[in-house]
Amino acid sequence: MKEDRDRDFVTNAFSTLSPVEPSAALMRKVATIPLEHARNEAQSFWPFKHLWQPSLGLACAGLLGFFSGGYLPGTGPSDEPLLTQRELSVAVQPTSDSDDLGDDLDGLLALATASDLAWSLEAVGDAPLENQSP
Amino acid sequence: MTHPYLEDQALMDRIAQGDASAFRTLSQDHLQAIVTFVYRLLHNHAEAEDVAQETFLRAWTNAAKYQPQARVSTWLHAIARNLAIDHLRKRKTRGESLEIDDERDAAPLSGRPSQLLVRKQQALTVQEALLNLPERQRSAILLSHEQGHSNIEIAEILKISVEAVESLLSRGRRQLRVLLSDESDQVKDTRMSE
Repeated sequence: MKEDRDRDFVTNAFSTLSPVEPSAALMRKVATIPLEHARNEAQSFWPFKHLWQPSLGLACAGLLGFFSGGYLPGTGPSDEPLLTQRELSVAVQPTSDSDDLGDDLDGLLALATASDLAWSLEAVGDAPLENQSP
Repeated sequence: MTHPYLEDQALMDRIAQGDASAFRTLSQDHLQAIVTFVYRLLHNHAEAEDVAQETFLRAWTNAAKYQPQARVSTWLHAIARNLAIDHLRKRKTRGESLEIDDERDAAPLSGRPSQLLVRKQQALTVQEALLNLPERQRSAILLSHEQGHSNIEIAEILKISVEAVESLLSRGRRQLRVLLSDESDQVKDTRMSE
């Protein structure tokens, strides 16, 4: 049969070829693969296969916190000023020198936390400071 | 009676657990076959050794992914072939052609220098004929005739049906025979003209 003849012919042709011997350098490189690419023991308990997975989780958690922090009741800026008008007028006691007033304001601002800063300034702007301007 | 695939799986399980001696066994058993197979596909020793090294690196890092549905040899040949095809594609984009490095092709044969020369010439002829086969036919022929894989295993390596493998082998053998006959006719013609 022709198929069989072709098969035998190719088998005979391949008998003239010898297997290629790997070089000593290749055998050395392959032998050092377990040493150079040692298994990381941390991988056995690390639940994430890739670094982007925990990163994505953290980013989603951050975004959720950011948006929920802005919209949930009782967590946003309150209408009530942190300092009453009287407390502010005492704290920001006007003097004859406008530089002194500025120093007082700086002191107040230094005491305020970053989140309270805008509200305090708004409260100051509402009442006493405007009355003191000539 | 132990199933050969289960033996392969036990070996790969040990490699997956970081057993260097198991990996040494794997490389001793299969490195030469992989280098030979890749060399026949690429016809370049340096590239063949690079691909073989990468194949065993992947075997080490992906040992846990081995499934005992096929011999580990089949699995390694599939990895090697995919890497070799990547090399062929890169070579194609660079516009490089296949060149035969014929130093290691001839089977060792003790005998007169003239016999060795003839043997080397025959090996070179076969190698050149292989070079003219399409990659899939070449892979199928090599896996069947040189690497000793069954048609089912070749189908797994090439990711085609067994019928398609049979067709590839049939066409490949026929074409190889025609090519080698042409070569031998040309040699005869050359000798007669001399």
